[in-house]
Amino acid sequence: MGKAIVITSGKGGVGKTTATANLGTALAMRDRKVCLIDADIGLRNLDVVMGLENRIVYDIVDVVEENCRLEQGMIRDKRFDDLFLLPAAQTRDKSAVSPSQMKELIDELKEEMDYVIVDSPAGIEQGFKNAIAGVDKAIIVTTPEVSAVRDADRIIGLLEAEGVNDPQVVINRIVADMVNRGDMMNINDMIEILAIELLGIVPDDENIVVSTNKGEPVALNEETRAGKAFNNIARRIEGEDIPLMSLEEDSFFSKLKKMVGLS
Amino acid sequence: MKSAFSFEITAQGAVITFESGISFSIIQQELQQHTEEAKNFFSGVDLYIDLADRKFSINQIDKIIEIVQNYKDVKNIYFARNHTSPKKPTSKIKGPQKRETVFIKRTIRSGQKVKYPTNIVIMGDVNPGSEIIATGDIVVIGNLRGVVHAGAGGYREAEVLALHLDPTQLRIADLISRPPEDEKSSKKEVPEKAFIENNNIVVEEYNI
Repeated sequence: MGKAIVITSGKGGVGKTTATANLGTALAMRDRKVCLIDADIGLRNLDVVMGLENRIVYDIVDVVEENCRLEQGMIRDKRFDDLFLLPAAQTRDKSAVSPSQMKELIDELKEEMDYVIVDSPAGIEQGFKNAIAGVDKAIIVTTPEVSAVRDADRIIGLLEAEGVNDPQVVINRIVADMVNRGDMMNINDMIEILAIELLGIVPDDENIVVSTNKGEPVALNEETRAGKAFNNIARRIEGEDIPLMSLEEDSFFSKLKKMVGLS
Repeated sequence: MKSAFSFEITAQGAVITFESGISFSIIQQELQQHTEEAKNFFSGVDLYIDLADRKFSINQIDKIIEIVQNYKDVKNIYFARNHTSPKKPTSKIKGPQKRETVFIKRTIRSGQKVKYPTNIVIMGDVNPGSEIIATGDIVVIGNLRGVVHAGAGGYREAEVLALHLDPTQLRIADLISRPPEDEKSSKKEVPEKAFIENNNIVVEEYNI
């Protein structure tokens, strides 16, 4: 019996879809059987980020409306045999699926999969309610901005009300220089406000833009900082005890500093 | 490149047909490759192997059986000859009703779906994330980048024509194709036409 995890945030644009694609990929790299569900009906993106858009024939709405079998709706990843995507419908809206249908679907998938990861839409309306129906655990993605943290806090409250307890947070798009200068909220301040467990931090990385546009999750490449960060998070999900990555860039300059013993 | 075999999906299952005039070693090689690249291609369906007009030796048939068993979760595997496999009666499949054509003069954007039991002509672009479904032909006077399904309902004579044909996915009747993964979107700025030939969707330049 697998575990269902929702990736959510409240605010849009903080990296829910990127996190879903990368955590799914990183878990599949560890030989886990993973199904990603795009719950953002009407504004689907996860298929594009995974590079699977042109393979879609059926989607989640076809599955719940029984136009096709569940296995027909699930698209197998190009790179991993045990990674699947159940895409959202693009030409429908959030009301096409109900929370009870989502729960039924997730329960069915959990029997086959080690992990079912649901990519939630932004907002707190029906799409969000669909995304959190039937999940065991929530990961909240936020960025070091006051507005994103505010929305994350609101989401934590809503999750508690729905009985999804002990969410964990991933802080995305951290720029080390700005934190050091005091121009960006620092991690401790954010954790103090949210008062939930920190699952991981992801540095701001240009590679994300490149990988998103190419449809190849950055987690495939552990050489990139964001890729390494997502792999670390996947290992923590798997129960390993991995320390947070340092924010310092391994730049030529910092290496030089280390060599001459300045830091 | 002419493929050594082709697929067809019928109401009863999938049919593999071996093309005539291609040596057994090529068939063997391509089939092996397909089972490796797409081992779930026939999951949950019956698979009919059509030997067409070719002669196969017992050893060769053994070899084919050995290879096709690499497909995962196939329901049953049958040998059939000259399309004796069950097929939908073609007489029932009609083209567009009343040979009508719907004209649409705007850009079809992501999330929009255009579906008519006729031919469809779009004067504008068809963007990624949109869907155009017609029982007849689809003509796009603009860039076609979304998903199109011509001949929906099984009309295999249907064609798709666009000034710039670069669809996410292109379907005609019961066949589905998508652009090759390794190539960048085609830079060819010439009108192209897609249609079914020998059970495959083919695209060729269209001279106006």
